[in-house]
Amino acid sequence: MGPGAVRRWESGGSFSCTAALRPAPWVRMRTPRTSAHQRNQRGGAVPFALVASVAAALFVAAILLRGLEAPVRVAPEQREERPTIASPMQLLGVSGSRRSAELAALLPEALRGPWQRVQTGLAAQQACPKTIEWLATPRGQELERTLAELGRGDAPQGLAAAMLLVDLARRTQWEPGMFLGAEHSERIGDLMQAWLARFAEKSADDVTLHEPALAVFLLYGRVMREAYDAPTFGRSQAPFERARSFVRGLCGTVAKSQTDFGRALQTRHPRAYLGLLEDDFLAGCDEEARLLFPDIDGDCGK
Amino acid sequence: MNAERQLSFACLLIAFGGLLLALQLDGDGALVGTGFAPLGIGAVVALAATLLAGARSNTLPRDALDVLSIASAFLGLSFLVAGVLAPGGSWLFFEVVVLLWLLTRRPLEQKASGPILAPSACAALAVMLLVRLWIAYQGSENRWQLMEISVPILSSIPLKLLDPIKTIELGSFDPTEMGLPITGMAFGPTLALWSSGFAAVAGGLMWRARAAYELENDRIHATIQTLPPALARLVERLLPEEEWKQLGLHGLSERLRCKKIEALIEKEMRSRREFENLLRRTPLLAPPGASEFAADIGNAIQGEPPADAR
Repeated sequence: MGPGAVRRWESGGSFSCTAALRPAPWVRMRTPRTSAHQRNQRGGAVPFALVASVAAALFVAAILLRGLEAPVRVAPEQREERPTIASPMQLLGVSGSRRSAELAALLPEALRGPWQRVQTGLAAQQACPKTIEWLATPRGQELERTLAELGRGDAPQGLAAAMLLVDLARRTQWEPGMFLGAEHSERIGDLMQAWLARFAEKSADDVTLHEPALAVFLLYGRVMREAYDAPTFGRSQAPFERARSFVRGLCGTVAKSQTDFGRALQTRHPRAYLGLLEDDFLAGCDEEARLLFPDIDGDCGK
Repeated sequence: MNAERQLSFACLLIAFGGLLLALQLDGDGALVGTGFAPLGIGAVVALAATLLAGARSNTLPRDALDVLSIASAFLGLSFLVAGVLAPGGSWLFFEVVVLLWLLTRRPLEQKASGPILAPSACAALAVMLLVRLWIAYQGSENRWQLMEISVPILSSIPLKLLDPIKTIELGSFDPTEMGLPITGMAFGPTLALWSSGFAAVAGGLMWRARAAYELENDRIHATIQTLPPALARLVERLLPEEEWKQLGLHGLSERLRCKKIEALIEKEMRSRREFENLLRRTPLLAPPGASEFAADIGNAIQGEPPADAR
C-alpha cells in the first residue's frame, strides 16, 4: 500500500481470526485525513513556520551569545583627556616639591600661600619628628587647617592635599617601635581616611586624581597595618576595626556592590584588592605601598 | 493542544533555556557570554547520547517538525551539559565520564529519535548544577577554593606565625579555570539566569520526548484510521497503542509504516490461527481420575470457573 492509499474491507459479517487473513479486494483509494501539522502549515492559530523560525533564531542567539565579551574597562589614564596637571604621580614622589609651583598655580588664591608654606616646611624637614608632635607645631596645625580647606575643593586641590599627606608620611616618624606607640601611624591614617572619604570615589573617573588616589589608599593600608599590627602578640583591635569598616565601605567588598573605586583598585592593584577579603586585609596594600613608595618607611628613610 | 503544537512549543522552551544558559552578569552588571568551550564539551556528550539513542534504530526525521525536534534535543542536551559542567579543572574529566554514562545507558527497547533526558540523569545534572553554582558563588566572593576549614585549636591562637596552618583549603581553582569574567560575577542575577535556563531546557527536553512519542502514535493512528472503521478498530485491538513503540512502528515513513503494520497483523493472525487450530485439536475435558489442578486448567481454558468456586 502506497502513501495515501487506503483499502476498503469488504468481507462483511462477523470477524474471526482466520477470516481476517483472507485476501481482500482493493476497490478504491482514499486520501488520508489532514494532520494538525499540515493544517498549521497552511496557517493555523500559530503557524509552524513562525514557531520554527523563532526557535531557530533563539538557538542561533544561544550559541552566538556565548562569545559575548565584557565591555573593556577604560581607566581614566587610558582616555584621550589630559589631566589638569601632567604626570600627577610625580608630585607624590621624593622630588615632587620641584613641581610644587605648577600645582600651586592651580589652587585658589586663598589656599596657595598656606599650602606652599606647609609644603615647603615639610620638604625642609630634616630632624624626622614624631608625627603627632610635628602636627602640634604651628606649621602642623596649619597643615591640618589647609587639608580641611583643600578637602572641599576640586581635583587639583585634592592632589595638593594628597601631596601634603604623602610628604607628612615621608618626613615624620610614625613607625611603631618598642618605645613608640601606634598613635602616630593612627593619626596619619585618620588624615588619609578623611582625604579618601572625600576624593576616592570620584577619583575613579578623574584623570588627574585616579592614580594618586590609589597610591594614597595603598599608603593608608601600609600605615594602618602598622598601627593594628604593632603589638607583638595579637593586634590592636580599634585601628583594625576602624580600617576594616572604612575599607569595606570604600571598596564595596562586603556590600556585594563593588564601588567604582573598588573596581579601579581591582584593575590596577588586584593583589591589594584580593587581600582586602582576607583576615589580614591590608597586607596586600602594605606590600604594594612598599613597592610604590620605597622611601616611606615610617622613620624618614633612616 | 495537539502533539505537534506541544512539540513545537517544547522546542521553543529548549531554545529559550539555552539562551539563558549562554549568559552571565559580570561585576559591572554587563551581560557576558559563558564561552564556547563548555558548549563544545556538551556537544560531544550530546553527540554520544544521540548516536547511542539512534543505534539499531531505523527512525529518521520525516518532516520539518521532526528535524526541529531532533535538533532541539541535541542542542538542548548540549546546553544542559555545558550549563552544569565546571568549565575547567581536573573534575571536568570526572563529570564528563559520569554524564556520558548517565545519558547513554538505556534499555534497547527505549531507542528513540533523539536523546532522551531520563529522570535519573536530570537529577544528576541538577546536582552538578548546584556544584557549579557553589563554585561560581565562591568565585564571585573572591574565594578560590570549594571550602576552607579552620583547624580547631590552631585557628584561635593569635600568632601570625601560624597563619599558613590555621586553615585547610579544599578544591582550589582560579578565575581563568572557572571561566569567570575578568570583572568578577554578579552572582544573584547569574544564579537566576542559570537556574531558569536549566529548568527551561530540562523541562523542554522532557516535554519534547513526550510530545514526540505522542506525535508518532498520532501518525500511526492516522494511518490505521484510513482503514474502514471496523477494520481499524480490529487492527488497534490486535496492535495495542502501548506497544507501537516497542513494535518498531515509530519513526517510519508512511509506506514503511503500512508495510510494517501489514507484517505485524500477519504475524499476529498467524499466531492466533495456530493457537486456534491447536485449541480445536486439544481435548479440554480432564480424563477421569485426573488431578484437581488438571480439571481446573481445563475449565479455565473453556472459560468456566474452577471446581471449588462452583
